[in-house]
Amino acid sequence: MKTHIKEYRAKYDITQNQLAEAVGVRRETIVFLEQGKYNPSLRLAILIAKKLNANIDELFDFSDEIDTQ
Amino acid sequence: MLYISHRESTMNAKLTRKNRNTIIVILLMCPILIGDFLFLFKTPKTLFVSLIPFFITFIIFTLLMFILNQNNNQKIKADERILRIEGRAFSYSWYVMFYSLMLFILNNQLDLIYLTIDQILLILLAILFISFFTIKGILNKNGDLES
Repeated sequence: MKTHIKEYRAKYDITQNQLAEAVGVRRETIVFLEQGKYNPSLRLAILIAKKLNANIDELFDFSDEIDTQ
Repeated sequence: MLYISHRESTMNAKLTRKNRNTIIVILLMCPILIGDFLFLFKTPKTLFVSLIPFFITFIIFTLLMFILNQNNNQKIKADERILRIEGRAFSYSWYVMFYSLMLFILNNQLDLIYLTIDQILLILLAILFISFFTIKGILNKNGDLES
């Protein structure tokens, strides 16, 4: 899984801490999300997408996982 | 982004309130803890019985902290990733504890090391907590249960 959260954070000038606070998770969760190590719940994905004014498919890229199936 | 700035502005105040609450609870618990230690050293009880006041103190401390921090709205500490990891870690630590219990039963049957029931209970509790935090740490390092 690849994510574009970092790019969107930079676009809106939001820190990991601020995003974590806004969506109600720990900063580590945002770190793991950006590294593509954590598969978020649909709820969290929607919350992040809302906060970053983006669509879920713009933020999360599962193409590599879908191709292998 | 207004929501973020509002959260940020109130965060410091919340943290200060939490720290103040912790100090109040610790101060309240001090006489009870002194009593616990006096009970431990002054009464010729078994180890397990002597530790019962500490368990009760721990429960009182947890309850007080829960009541005082109820309105702090600090639910971030238990985010979805941590909840998943803690659930798995708790299950694994119970398995570890049951395996240890089997070993203690085997030890008892074979008369290898003499251990009283108090010692076994304390060791089992220690195994439960230590294995829980160890497994949680390992799972947390990976980021996700699936990875």
